[in-house]
Amino acid sequence: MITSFILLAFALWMYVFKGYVMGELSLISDGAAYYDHFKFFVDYFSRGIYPLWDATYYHGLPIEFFLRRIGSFNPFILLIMLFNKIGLAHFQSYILFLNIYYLTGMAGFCLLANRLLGHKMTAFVAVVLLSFSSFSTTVFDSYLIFTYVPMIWFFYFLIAFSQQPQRHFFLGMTFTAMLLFTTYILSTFFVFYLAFYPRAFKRISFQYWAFFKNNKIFVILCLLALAVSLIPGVLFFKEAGSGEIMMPSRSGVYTMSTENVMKVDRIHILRWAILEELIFSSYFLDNLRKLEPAVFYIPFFGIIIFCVGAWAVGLNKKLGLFLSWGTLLFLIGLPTTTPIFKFFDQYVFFFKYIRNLHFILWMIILPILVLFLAEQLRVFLSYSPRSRKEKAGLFIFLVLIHAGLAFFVSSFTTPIPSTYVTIVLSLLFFTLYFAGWLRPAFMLALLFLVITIEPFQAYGYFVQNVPHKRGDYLNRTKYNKFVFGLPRGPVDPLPPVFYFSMSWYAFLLQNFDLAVLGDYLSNKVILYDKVERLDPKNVDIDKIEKNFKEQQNIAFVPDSYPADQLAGSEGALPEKSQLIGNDSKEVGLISFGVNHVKFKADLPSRKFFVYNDNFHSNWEAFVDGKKVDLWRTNLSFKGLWVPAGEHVVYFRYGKDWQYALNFSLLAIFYFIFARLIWLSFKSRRHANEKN
Amino acid sequence: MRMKKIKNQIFGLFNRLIVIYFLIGVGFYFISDKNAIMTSKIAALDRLRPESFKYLVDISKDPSLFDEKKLREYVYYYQKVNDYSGGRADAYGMLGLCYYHLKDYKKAIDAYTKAAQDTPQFFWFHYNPGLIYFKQGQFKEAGENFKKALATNPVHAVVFISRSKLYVPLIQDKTIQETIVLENVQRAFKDCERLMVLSYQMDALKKEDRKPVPVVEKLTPQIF
Repeated sequence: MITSFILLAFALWMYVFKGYVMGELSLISDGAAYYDHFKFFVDYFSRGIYPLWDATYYHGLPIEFFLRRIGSFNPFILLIMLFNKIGLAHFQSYILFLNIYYLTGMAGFCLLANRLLGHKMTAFVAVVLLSFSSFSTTVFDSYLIFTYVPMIWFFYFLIAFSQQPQRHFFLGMTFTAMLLFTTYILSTFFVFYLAFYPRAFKRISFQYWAFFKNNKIFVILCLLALAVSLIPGVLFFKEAGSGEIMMPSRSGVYTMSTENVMKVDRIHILRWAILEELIFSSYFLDNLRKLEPAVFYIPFFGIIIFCVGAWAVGLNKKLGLFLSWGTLLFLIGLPTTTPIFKFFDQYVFFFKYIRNLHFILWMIILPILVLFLAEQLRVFLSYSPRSRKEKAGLFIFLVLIHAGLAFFVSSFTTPIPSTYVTIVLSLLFFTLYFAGWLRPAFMLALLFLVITIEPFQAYGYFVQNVPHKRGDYLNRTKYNKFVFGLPRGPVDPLPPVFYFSMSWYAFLLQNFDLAVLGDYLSNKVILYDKVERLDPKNVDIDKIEKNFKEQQNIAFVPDSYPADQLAGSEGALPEKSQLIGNDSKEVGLISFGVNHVKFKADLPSRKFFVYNDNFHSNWEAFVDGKKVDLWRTNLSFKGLWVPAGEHVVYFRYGKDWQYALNFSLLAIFYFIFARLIWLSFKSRRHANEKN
Repeated sequence: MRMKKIKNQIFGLFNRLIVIYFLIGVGFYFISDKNAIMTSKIAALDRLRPESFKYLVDISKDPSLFDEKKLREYVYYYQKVNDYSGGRADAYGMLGLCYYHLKDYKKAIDAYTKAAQDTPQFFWFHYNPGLIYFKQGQFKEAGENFKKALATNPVHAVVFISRSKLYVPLIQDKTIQETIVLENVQRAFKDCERLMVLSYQMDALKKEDRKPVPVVEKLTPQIF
């Protein structure tokens, strides 16, 4: 019966946010950016290509960072492709995927709450409270869902494995940890778990050891898979320190530097953290008609439980665990208010790479708070008044609490009617419950109503307040097309605070006349007869700008270029470089893809072939299948020598091992996911047969 | 045995979550930096700030641009500024302006009164309610407000505006220099003198002898 009510809650949630599925409401903020990342990835992946480069993002950029953000190995991404295949538009497919992924997370939370609280009804309360808290709105305006769904399941498998050491739980832990590597969350949990359950910890450790001994190969394979899954992240981290890419809005470094760009500028951490988020959200609590994304909200029944629990419930181990763990994370999330963050920042190295401390509020503190409330409810409901006097005292207590809350709500700027209805229904629920007049079905129905009635109205306002017009967001629908000649004119400057770019391209945009640069970049391919070395530490901007403006027949290469190969063709050379248009006889396009471009060249003499797409050390060049030296040219682009005559010039991004690694990881993730489902079904069938 | 029972009862009495919350609250009070909390409040208020204040400047010039929804947004913002700052003269002043355009004259007067109590040296906190009183036919009150306005120093208006975090965005929108703010006040001073005299004259007249003054009807409260 509880399952039916949980499904009803999920259906109601989907109904409330149906505007997104119907395409009437717009994703915003990071939600829109991630939509774009997913679309880009899925467009290529559905054709069997693993994209590593995006030529349209500031004239070319490696997208490993975006792929790490979306979790490109997550098998759930196949859902988008499946929905696409059955004819749904990409936007609808993506939103459906988000919905299903979110509800998968909520199903995991229900199982987790059930394991932790050991009480089905309060687990039900926990999942409905969380589903209808603002946890759910993060689906449409942020990327937190891609972290918290695997995190919830990780904790479920962890707890389940600690209670019953079975293979599928261990595999589940491995799989979700592969999707997720949030060590600071996990480690703080272990510290408090150890503090509150020292004996259980000892027992569990022995249990784990026994499991390892009996399943050596299985455990080793799982750990190996976990280790392999860390490789892309480690490689990207290494690349972030190479100086090739720049992420100023994250690192605060706007000039070329070898400092790791993943390191977060202190200003970002200090400017907006948990306290700011809570103060901002408090502006909306007294007027839910203004509810909007990124506002921390919990259904009013949660506040009722909090008030009832505060007076009537004592501290037990579970409450102590939730309270202390949540409080520490809360204090960590206050970087300027308390000295706790400073301590962690100084002594725990990975704190330098955590950008949004306020995400702790959404991803960890909110679920912990819900579990904390659910446990309070469980303890409170376990009270059994024996005498009439006790019953009367309890009733008076409940009336006082509810009346006090009603008075509190009446002081709001604009209270919404459903908040009062919640208070009345809550009083009715508790009264009937302690009177023993509630049958299970009616009790669940009443609980369902008391939790959902206010969010149902509040989210009605929410959907009115979010942007309604859906667009193509970043408008990058033409990323699979190549043209030699682009429209002339000033190139779009980088915004004052930009997120991600190749370092040398940012240097060009920051230092050059944008009209000159725009004219230069309107030609994707340019042929030169001569090259000249330049010192990257001492760039003569005027000289290069003049070269671009006058289309001089000299390309600039780094000073590592061999001095004996500077000259091109012999004899009198033309003054101007040769710009290649769409109807050029010398250079034509053979093929263009996300990770490569192939040209045919028919040149009268040896030429330095410049392809105005950003250079990166992972690019390789081939002439007639033979690998040749590729140079960073004209500060930011790609250039190579091509001999006279007919040749095929091929540029390719990524080494063979990178593709092999990515496809192997996809295979490993998919295999483990399939195996996890299979083992879970098998275990369930086995348990049913046993019963 | 009895002692143990009493001990358990006392422990039971204090073993309440509210006691734990209280202890956490006390601990937080001692370790937290109060200035940082104030900075957090300001950061949160900044996020609540309407994208542009241009509309407020525009409606002050042209009341036909009336848009209730927009005005309510500003009212909400300035109310929150007051809630979290304990009341600021500039926020009350802006509230007065919004309420005037929403035709809620009582609230407008109340807001200007609070603003003037906090910052009596700001010309517009007297001139604007004077104008509202005048339009309402309360000439005595109008005259008193105009009189108070005339007693202020125009330079104080410039100083107040340049120091107010709420006025700065308005000035940025209009790229108004200090000199222009000063010129506006000086010009209004002249109007104010005439309005004060007119108010007292109207007040002296019998109700049936009073005639509408079209020039005054066209005047509206100003921001600066």
